[in-house]
Amino acid sequence: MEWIGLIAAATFRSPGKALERDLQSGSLQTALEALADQYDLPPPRLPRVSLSDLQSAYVRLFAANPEGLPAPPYAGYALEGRLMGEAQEALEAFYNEHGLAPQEDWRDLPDHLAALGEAIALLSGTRPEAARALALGYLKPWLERYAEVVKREDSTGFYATVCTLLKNVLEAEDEARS
Amino acid sequence: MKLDRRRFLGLSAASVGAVAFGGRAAALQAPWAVPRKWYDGEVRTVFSYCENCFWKCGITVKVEGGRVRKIDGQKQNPKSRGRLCPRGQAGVAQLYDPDRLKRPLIRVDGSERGEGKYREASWEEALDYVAERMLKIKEQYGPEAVAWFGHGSGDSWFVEYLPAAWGSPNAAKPAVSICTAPRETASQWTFGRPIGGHEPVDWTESRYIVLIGHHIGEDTHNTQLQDFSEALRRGAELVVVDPRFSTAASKAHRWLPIKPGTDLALLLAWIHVLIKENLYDRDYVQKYAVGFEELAVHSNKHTPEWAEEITEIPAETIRTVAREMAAAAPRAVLPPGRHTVWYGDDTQRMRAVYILNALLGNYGMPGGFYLAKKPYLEKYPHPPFPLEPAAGGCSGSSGGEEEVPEGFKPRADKGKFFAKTTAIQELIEPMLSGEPYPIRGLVCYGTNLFHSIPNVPRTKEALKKLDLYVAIDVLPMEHVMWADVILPECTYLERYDDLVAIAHKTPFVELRQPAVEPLWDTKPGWWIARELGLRLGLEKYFPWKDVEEYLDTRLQLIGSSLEEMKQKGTLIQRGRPYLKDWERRRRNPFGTPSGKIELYSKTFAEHGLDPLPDYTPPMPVPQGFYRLLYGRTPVHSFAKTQNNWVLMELKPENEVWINREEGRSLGLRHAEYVWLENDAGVREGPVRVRLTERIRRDCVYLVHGFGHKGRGVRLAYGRGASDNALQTRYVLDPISGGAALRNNFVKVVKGAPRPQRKRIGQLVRERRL
Repeated sequence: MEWIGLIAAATFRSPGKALERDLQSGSLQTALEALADQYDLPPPRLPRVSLSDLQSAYVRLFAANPEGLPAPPYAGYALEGRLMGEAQEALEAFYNEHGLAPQEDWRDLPDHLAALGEAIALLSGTRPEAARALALGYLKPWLERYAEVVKREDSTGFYATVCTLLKNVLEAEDEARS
Repeated sequence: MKLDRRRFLGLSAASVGAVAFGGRAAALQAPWAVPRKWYDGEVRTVFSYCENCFWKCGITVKVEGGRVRKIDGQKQNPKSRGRLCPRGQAGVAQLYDPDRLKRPLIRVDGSERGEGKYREASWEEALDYVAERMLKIKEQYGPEAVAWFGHGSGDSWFVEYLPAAWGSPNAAKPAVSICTAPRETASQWTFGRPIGGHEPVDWTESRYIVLIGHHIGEDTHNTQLQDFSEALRRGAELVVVDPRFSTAASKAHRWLPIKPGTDLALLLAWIHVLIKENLYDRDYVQKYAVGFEELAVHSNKHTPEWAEEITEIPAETIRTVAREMAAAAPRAVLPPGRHTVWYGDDTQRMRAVYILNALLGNYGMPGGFYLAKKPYLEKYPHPPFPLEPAAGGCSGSSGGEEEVPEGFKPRADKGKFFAKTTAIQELIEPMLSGEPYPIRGLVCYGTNLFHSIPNVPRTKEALKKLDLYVAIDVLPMEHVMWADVILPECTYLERYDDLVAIAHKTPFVELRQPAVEPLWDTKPGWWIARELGLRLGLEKYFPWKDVEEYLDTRLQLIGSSLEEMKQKGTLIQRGRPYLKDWERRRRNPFGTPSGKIELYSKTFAEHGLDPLPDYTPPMPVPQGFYRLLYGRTPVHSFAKTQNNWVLMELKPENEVWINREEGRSLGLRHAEYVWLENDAGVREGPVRVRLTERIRRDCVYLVHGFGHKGRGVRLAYGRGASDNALQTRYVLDPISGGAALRNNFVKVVKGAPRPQRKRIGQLVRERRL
């Protein structure tokens, strides 16, 4: 679960220098391959994309798009079709129950995929069942709803690759545990 | 795996941080299904005022669990009296609209305006970017080369405070020259007083009301509608003059389906009857007015028979209504309406409306117009700005000599019309032509450039020519996604704004305060203005460190405080509504050059304008076309609310009203979709046909605000037709600077496909899994 959370946390944040470094060093590619290998999935291949193209793609997919925002990156939104609803309230209560709280300088909603990913990563060491519940209860529904949309709309292929892998991994995880 | 987990986690270190671990890791079974009633929780009440139209109703916001749960009318507030319209109540959906702008965006280098390619930026970077380019424009062309447009309560920072400090006279609001300019200019030069944002009509005391193109009930100004209903309940007679059988007409005793564009002829005929039949209030006119003799001579020619030829209203009906008005006077009133930019002679038409009211002796009398008084409120004691704010507002429009301080240039539209305030549509041309001097930058706050200013193709061309275009807004409207820099403002439920001083029978001050913290990385307008001001070297005009200090200082100066206002929401003062209240204090309410009501305006004569209103025919309707009329719906405001799913479920699209007989002669079926094409070849729609007897055969009608082209507002996109897109022509009112919009003509083009748009409810459901 930890790698699922870490990858989500890193890739669903607004792309910056840190992500660029991780792409250049190959560490993100390594992480994706390792995760795929863990679930017997074919190794994904991240496309080579400049930081400015990634930033532009991120805005068009997840922030503001003159053609309509394809994939609002909020877990509660995929569950309920609205922001700040009961799904998000439940998630906040869940965070609270497990000693997590958004940092004050986090300028987004608590069910943003980057925040959710980090929560999964943080819980995976000590509360693996809680991490799994978050991943399957919140991240997986979002991917089921929007991974295909991202694949269709992402001009860089970067987000499509990450979303497809995470979706396949979580489906495999769900199947294996059930 | 060789990845360093700690460093990898550090990539998102600013998101969720572990505080402490504890509790039980419960598996989530359908974790979103949490049956809970918010009103059983700890509910906090916050007083503020609404932003979903310009009426500015006081609201009571219920907050629980950090979320806005419900919005009601504020009982103690004279604008709402505890009641609220659908738009006000639907504010929660606006706050939590997923399409909202979330953080500053900068257009990607190398992309074109309108292409919509952006990257996220920090506020520091975005504001530095804007300031650097503004200073460059100032250095090269002067401060006047940056124009400032604004609409909404927060616009004072961007069309008054900041441009006046910066030194640009080119600040403008659509609320002036696309709306109220004629009625305000006419009122200033007839009564020497503004009409103001809250029309001072003494509805409940009136016994005879004549509405001329006034869409009460469709524009839903909360307490105005309450008072109007009360007047009818008390037995007031109602006459509605409108080419369309409006909602108000459905309540009327008489509906006069006037030929569009001829209202002034009807008004002049009524003046004629009142004078010739000696029905006017002679004592009132003698005491309070000047210019009656000139008016009497002037009105000789305006017989009801003359007006019948023009208006298609029978002369006998004209006489009857004039006599009924006079019988009820002074409790008979012709309210001014709001959107008065119709045909180009609009200030003169409004002068005729006011002259009629004066002849009925109702100005400053119960049942007519009360004398609205501004509440006592001091300005923040900042150093004087180099320029006076020029954008005007509901009470800002006047004319006459204008002094330009040394070292500054006059407005770019100076000389085109008489009034002092800027006309937003006249600031587009200098962006294209560079005449009389170049406008190279635009800061646009909350103004929908493609749904308010006529001739949208021209506006788009102008935007392409600018060196800098900054949009400050809440939603990614089409025009916003053309900007070089997009600065996301938080909604009215998340911010303070400047105090609002409402001129009223009981003058009052309203406070806007945040009910919840701003979502995402959005900021209030005051903060954006201040941060930009500091970067522009205007720090001396921003001696206050935050808006709370600013507001508290203003309120302390009048013996109140921010703390008191937070508790009360509204601060009500005493008014002087009637002439007798002024006379008791030996005060003269009339601020005209003569100190009286000016039936005849010498000032107009001195400036080469008609001193008395006279009829000029409107532009004729070309063969095969219909005059395009437009109006409002009670559940939407302008083009602002069409992405609010609650309101869109109530009214998801507009329709084109076409006379039933006329429609049948065109082979149209009710509810089929058509295109509308104007006489410049601009095609708009598809839009659904509404065949109805409720409109004349020579015009068609659209509710304004639909037909959004920007897909960024996913619910608003592609529903209905935009009247503004079809308004490629306007006639400039030479007195007020108003852009008269009812000079556009359309034909109906059959064969439009039924739009494959999903129902709003379905769209909302599809967002989820």
